[in-house]
Amino acid sequence: MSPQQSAVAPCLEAALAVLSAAGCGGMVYCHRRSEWSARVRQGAIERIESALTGGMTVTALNSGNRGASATSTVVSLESARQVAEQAVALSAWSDVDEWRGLPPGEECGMAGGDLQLSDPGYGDADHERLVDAAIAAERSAYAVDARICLSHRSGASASRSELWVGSTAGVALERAGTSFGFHATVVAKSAAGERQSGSWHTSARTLAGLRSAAEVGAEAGRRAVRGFDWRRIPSGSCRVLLHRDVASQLLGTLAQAVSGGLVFRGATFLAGKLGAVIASPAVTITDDPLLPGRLGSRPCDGEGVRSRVVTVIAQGRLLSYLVDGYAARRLTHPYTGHEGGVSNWSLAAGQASFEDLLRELGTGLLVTGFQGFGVDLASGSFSKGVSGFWVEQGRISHPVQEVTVAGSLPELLLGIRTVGNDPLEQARISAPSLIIDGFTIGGT
Amino acid sequence: MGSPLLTLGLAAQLLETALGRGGDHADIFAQHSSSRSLSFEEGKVKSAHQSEAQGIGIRVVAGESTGYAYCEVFDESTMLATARRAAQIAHGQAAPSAMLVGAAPLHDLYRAVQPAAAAPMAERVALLRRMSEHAYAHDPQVQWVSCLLADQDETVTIATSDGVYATDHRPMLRVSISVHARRGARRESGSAGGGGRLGLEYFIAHPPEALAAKAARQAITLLSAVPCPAGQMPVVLAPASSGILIHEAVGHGLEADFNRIGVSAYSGRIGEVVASPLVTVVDDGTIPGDRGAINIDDEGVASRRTTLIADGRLCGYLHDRTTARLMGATPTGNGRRDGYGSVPIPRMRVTFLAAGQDDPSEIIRSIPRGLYAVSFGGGSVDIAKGDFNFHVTEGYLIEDGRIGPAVSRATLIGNGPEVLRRVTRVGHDLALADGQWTCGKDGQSCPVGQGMPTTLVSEMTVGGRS
Repeated sequence: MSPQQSAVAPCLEAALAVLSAAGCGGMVYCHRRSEWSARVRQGAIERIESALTGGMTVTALNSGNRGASATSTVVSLESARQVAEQAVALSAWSDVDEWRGLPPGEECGMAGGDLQLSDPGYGDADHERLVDAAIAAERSAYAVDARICLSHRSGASASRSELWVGSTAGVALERAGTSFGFHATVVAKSAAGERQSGSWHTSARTLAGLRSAAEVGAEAGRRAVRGFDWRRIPSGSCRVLLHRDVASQLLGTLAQAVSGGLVFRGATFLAGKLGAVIASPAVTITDDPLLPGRLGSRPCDGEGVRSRVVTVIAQGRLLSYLVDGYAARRLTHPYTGHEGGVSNWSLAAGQASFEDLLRELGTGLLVTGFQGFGVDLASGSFSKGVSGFWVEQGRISHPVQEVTVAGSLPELLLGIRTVGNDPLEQARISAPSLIIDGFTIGGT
Repeated sequence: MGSPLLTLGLAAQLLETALGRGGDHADIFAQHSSSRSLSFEEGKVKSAHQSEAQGIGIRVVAGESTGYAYCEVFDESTMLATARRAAQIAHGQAAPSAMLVGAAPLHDLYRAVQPAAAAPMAERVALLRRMSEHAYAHDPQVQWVSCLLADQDETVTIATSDGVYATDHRPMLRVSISVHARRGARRESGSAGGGGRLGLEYFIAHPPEALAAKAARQAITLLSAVPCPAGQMPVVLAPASSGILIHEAVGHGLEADFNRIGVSAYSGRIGEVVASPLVTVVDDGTIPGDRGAINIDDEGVASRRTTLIADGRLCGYLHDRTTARLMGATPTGNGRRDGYGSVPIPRMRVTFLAAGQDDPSEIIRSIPRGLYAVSFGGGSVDIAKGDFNFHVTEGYLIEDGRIGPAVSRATLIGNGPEVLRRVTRVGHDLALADGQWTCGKDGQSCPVGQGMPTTLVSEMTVGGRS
């Protein structure tokens, strides 16, 4: 038991006591986090940052189903009482909302046994190893190609975080975890003076789970030079192969589109679609918080609701939204444990290798990078800048940049023709490469 | 200047500890902020939140290396331990720190006549109720309205090893509204917002009904929007919020940290022509009450107006103390940070394209076919290459010199230096965006402002669907 832990329990109790004395229900959250990060450049340390941070949040729910919350970065008995009193006082100002409430006790708890979320051996001495890894990654990136001339934003990070949740309904949970990572970003310059950058990273719950510096650096280097001698392509429509890097971004968008908060607001194109076929039969998507050792894993969500595996889309049919307690009550939807968003969100792999996908694409656009924020979940409109490669007869012909792709998410989901077998499993949001019909290209 | 968060004596002791193993510079950033937010949805007060945050960040700079540590308790022994952690970056003999001299900031730019923090809750609720009711009444197709009123009161005390000891009290008000509308199966949304370093008097010049009408009109207009064309075409940018183009296409590329290490597309180009002669770009931190206004930056440097490009020629970068020292330049007051948890880095304040000579309606009349872009979502830029993008949330076709039908949302892309050369008309109607923009860089958020006159870019790539 860490020293912080012993100090937190009385704060939780003090805040809950204030809530009970005021005749309110509610929840108390307390977190502590230690962070360390370093930035390196040209083989030397550029910056080291370290911090111990924490905070508490109290949500009060008064007898008239009015609720409010208050937060402080100070974790102390005095602060706990004060924050709870502020939440109680503020709650009188909210209007009655019948769906406010606490998750029922039977939904709360810790799932999954030992999820292996922490590296038991982690200590300050490991920081030096992480710095060395970032420097080695930078060196490996330089070694890829003579045109790589600058290092930009290479570095490493480590953190340990702990969360405690208590409620007036008797919930008392805690979860903890560590995470580590390092990354390299380099810039290459062509003979003509054009610059392109490339970056890659690795992250994991344990130090041993990280990829090698040589692998991360070499990938960053390859990415920096792969776009030279690019061309634009004409406007029009063509078949598109989304590399897993960008397929996972599309999948991230879908995670927002199925979130309960947007569903009850009518703010997503998937509102009212539960049970309907919304994607091609090749699409099965699950959120699995119980995978041991994974970055998104957790025994319970931020409200203390027990984690569970949720199949959201099965062979194209929408089976579940992802809901926090409020959305579950409001939508009369089963609890899914999604206060705090997705855990390990993945699109199930298909059979096709990346080479198979290129052959199937034939002639069309392989997209390897998305740029911009052009997604509107209400209408389902999707429009982004892209970079990638033009593919002819199954072979990569030349890099493509400075073009756009646009489409409608409802049509794109139904237009997923083939799912690859190449998801990147270290990521919290992971998808294999995909062939999709229905994009419009904005080019020359 | 407000009362400091830590005494001059303690600040001096922390600086001495921070430089205990040597270093070229050390500074302290103490911050206390209290924030309130109120959200109003479906005609009801949905939630109320209050928060307090405090912390102190200590930085030691030794050559090109920086050590940074922060803590969240203002107790002397913890703060001294934090200073020692930051000092680990240096490996030499203790360095001296200058005598701290307290001075009031040069500027007094914040305009909170009726500080929001002091306003009765009932008054805030009433403002949101007016906004929400007006949006619902705008059109029966409006299905859902959410409004947010947030304010923050922040005090920072900055002490530096070159003798600065300053305190700045910074208010911030932000209001926003989001409207969802539906016709049959078609759903669209609209949004609007504003605010600044202001109090509730903001609503005298900007009645809640006006914001409500703007957001509702946008959602309803989009319900009958036609698909946006795809490909290259002339784009006319409407005044005010179009400043996002300047922010992404030029502003980030001129932040000195990128230029010091040669990463930016604008590196090493001071004195060169980088844009059309019609282009003058300014970053101004001294516009009273603006969201991007600061009396002093987060390193204690006085805010100022900085001309970045004059008549197409690049004249300077945006500096913090570190980049200025390493590049032999003068700090421009652009050293800003997300809070005590982050090191200061060069950031924009209020960035705009200066007014030109052209009549705005004449600019539109000159276009046979193009896009008129009015409201925007986010944007971003690839610093090394200079490629940027931004999302148009409200736009119209221009047909035969007249504004035609509304088009659906689309992303616009371009290359910064290339697009600046294609600025062929600049209107005389410069306007600043109502304050709601937040810029993200290196994981740090920072409130900024932007502005633009009506401007013609002769060719940009539009990511539409027809």
